Amino acid sequence: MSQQRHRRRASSLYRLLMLLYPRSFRRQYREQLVEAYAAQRAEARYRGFAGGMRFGIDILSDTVSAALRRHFAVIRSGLPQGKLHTAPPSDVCRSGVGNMTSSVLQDIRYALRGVAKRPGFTALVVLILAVGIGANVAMFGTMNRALIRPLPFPEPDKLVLGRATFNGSPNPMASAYDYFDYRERNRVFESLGAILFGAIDVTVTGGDEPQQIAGTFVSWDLFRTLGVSAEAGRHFAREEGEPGGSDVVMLSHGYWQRRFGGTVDAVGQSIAVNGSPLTIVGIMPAGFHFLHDVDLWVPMYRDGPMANARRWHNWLLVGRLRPSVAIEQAQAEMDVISAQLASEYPETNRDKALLLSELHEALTEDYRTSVLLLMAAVGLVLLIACGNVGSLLLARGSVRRTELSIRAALGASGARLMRQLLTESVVTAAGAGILGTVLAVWFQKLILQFLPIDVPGMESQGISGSMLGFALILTVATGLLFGILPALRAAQTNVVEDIKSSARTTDSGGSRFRSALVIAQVAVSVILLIGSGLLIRSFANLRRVDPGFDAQSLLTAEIRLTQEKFSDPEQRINFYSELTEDVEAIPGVTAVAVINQLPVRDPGNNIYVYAADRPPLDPNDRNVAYTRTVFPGYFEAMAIPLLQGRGIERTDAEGSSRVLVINQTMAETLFPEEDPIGRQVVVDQGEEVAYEVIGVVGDVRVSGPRFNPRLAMYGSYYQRPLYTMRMAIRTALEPTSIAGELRQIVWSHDRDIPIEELSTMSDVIARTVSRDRVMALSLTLFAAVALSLAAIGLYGVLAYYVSRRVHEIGIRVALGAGARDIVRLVLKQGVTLVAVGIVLGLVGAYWVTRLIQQMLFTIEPTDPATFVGVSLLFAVVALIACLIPAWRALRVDPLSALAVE
Amino acid sequence: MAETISVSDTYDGIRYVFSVRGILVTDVSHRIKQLQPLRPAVFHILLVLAGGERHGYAVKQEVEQQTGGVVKLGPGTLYESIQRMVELGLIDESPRRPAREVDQAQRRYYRLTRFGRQVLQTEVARLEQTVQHARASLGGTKPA
Repeated sequence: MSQQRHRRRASSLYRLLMLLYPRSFRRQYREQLVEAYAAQRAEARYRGFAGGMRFGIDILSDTVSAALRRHFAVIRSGLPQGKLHTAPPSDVCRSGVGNMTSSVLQDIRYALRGVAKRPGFTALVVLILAVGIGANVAMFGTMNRALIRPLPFPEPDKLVLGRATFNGSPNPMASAYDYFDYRERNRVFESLGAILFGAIDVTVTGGDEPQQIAGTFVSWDLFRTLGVSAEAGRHFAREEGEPGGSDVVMLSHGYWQRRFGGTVDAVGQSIAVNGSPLTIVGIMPAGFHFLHDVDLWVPMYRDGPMANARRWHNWLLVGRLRPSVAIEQAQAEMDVISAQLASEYPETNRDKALLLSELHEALTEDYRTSVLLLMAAVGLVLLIACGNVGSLLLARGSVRRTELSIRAALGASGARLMRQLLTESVVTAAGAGILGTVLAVWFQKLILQFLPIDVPGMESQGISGSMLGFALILTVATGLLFGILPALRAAQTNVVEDIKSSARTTDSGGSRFRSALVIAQVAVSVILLIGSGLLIRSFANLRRVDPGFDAQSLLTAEIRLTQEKFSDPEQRINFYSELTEDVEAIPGVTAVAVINQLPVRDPGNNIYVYAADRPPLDPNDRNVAYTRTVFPGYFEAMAIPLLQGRGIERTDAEGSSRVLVINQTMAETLFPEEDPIGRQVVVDQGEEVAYEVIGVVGDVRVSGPRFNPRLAMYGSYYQRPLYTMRMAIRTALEPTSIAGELRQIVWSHDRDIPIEELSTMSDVIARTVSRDRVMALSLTLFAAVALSLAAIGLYGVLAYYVSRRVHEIGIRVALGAGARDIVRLVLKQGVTLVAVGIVLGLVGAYWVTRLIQQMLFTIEPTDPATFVGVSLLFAVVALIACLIPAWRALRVDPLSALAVE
Repeated sequence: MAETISVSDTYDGIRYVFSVRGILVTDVSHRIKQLQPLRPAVFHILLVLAGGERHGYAVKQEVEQQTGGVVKLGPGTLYESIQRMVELGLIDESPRRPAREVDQAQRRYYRLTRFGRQVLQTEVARLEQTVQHARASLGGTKPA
């Protein structure tokens, strides 16, 4: 039932779109067009959200291009359609259609003349609309690329992403052993590939200087699954994805250009990655980008790095469905395999499953809300701008009334006048559309800079055909939207009344239109304001969250030692000890923290733990804790409070007992209401090893402020001397000022050691909430624009009201009305409009804001404080907008007002 | 000598030339030449109608089926092309309609004109030549 209604509404939209066709064509084919439209809507490829959007775009571009071709044919021939090959040319000029064409041209000429006569007014209108159209076109382009356009791979709808779930909630990584089983046992995928959860920094040596670049592990068949062929050389072969296969690597186009100048003989050469030689077998094409921004790919294999267990979860699965298999079927088969694995390996696979989702949907789910929200916001702002311009034109319409009336008296019909005014607004909108499209190029770059979207194919930033089409439609729609009310008014022109012209006319029709416009503007701005208010408060809450350490005045850096030169653990301990001392000696440095993974920057590794005297009955009940390795002085330097016991010290070395400092959450979880100091914790690091708890420190939010602290523990570097360590250097001065000296010191030890990730900790934290900041900022910007437009609109209506009532006010003052009465008269008008608008806006916001619930942090979408605050803010702004006309009404001099008679 | 006005139209990056008042030009082969190469939509519609009368939507379905979905005809493209082809005299509306119970309401049926059939034949011959040429320059496989 509702589906039927839905369909009827959709086809009535299409009927509206059909207005783009020449009338005769429309008349002849109306029913058939609608039938073809309905049939196309039902096609399978237009199912779902993305399908619906794609359908809309296809229909739009189909209609626009066909309508253009038809108009083109009509104009060029000047002939009534359908008789093109039979009617003799001499009929052309006499036919009605010919006249119509020439009168449209006449209207356009007239409109251009009018526009040129009022350059200031026109420039203002064009600018307002150009910004609105530009923002919409840019946002549409972004939305189209991110959410609607298929991924740049062959048959993208056959690609699915596989993510592991535990007890139904996404992990989302799957383990390598599970992956191998899914790959071997399934019959639904043409191929099932895998890619590591993230990028790994590797050091490539052998060139002029050591380079640190990003790389990742992929299954040998990942690129085949995606359907992307190598630009040079070949893909990985099956045996290169087996244990004992040869050591091979594929390079990105960019790295191939940088390192080898794009020469084909790079294929077959060998490069040293982290000290081991790998043979280059192929180059991926330019612009290829999948999930991670990396420059090299290395094949994974069973029992290779990160692929040697069933309980480590590091992989995302990417599958290509067989031609006749639907995703539901594939999911059913995955469930069967998951159940098999659960019974074969109950210890690791109980409650574990694999969730398949369409690759495109999965990649965009993070951005969908942000992008749609911004699209809605810019759309609403354009709507308000249209309302304002329409309001301006209505006001000007009253000024032009005499001109229009004379034209009517000379024989122009109402429809003719209406068309002339509409032509004027469409011509104005066309100017705005052209300027807006130019602006869109720049807006688009701005959007992507502030809202990085990680979807393949986002890189191309030009103006696409669909964006041009959208701009065109938006321009026409805008012109019609803001022009329609003034034009309707013009069509009702009453010749006799208007030529007489009277200052007393109250013009109730015009002001009713304008009042409705103002109410709509107020309502829409209230919705936008509440949305931005919620995002701002949510962002403020995020910034108020205590990260658990002092993030001010910290410089971070990553230092990576190669296995060739630092194979001896003692060497590494000495290197880092000396480095710490040297850095501490830099003037202005107050403390140095050394750890393998810095909070916020790297969340860290998860490991199973349990209290030694309380082994869990079921291995699945073990807790998971973040594990880190630190140097003495770490907690003091980071200002993480030591709550109990002691920190890591130089004496916690190889040979002495293995020690751990745990965080408060871990202490409360493993040893509730007991003293954890001196207790044993068993850590599952491949084999189960017991550690002694020597201290408890405060919690740190390692993944950024949005995420609650979890279990974490810190071991001693002397007992686990790693190659790569990070430093956080606390300074008395601006942290970045010592970056140069830090480099000098590191390179004085060894010229070949790369230093990466030099930045301040506050920047790192700011980056984790950058999306929240961008959304709050941009929505606030839109809301501010909407608020001021609505205020201007309100002011316009009241000023107009006062100017039409000068005569009446004059009489009232002459009869003894006081200042208070006059102000009340004007305010009553304004207050009614604003009150109705605010109430409508609040009701709207109540329904709309729940759409952004998932973006909000510790705040409800119906937060009363925000709702009340916005209403008050609006009331104040509205009051100011009302007071100026009221003040003007007060200055009405009764004598001169009446003297007009 | 009748005057001719050429309309050039760009579609899919290819420039097509039509003679709008082509009916006044008596030299058929000259008129056909002016229509070549045919727009994909026009070509496939002709091809479908060569198999007999069809109504508009049936044409669309058959075109998409024949081309394996490569040539897609949206509602606008479909009827704009049909209208253009009627104007050019390639097809016309069939006066005969199928029996009442088969015919659904307002459906109009189209058929190939003699001129349309000539245009299609010429276009097919031209394509044949092109294919032969392409095969030859790709070397290797020869048509059986």
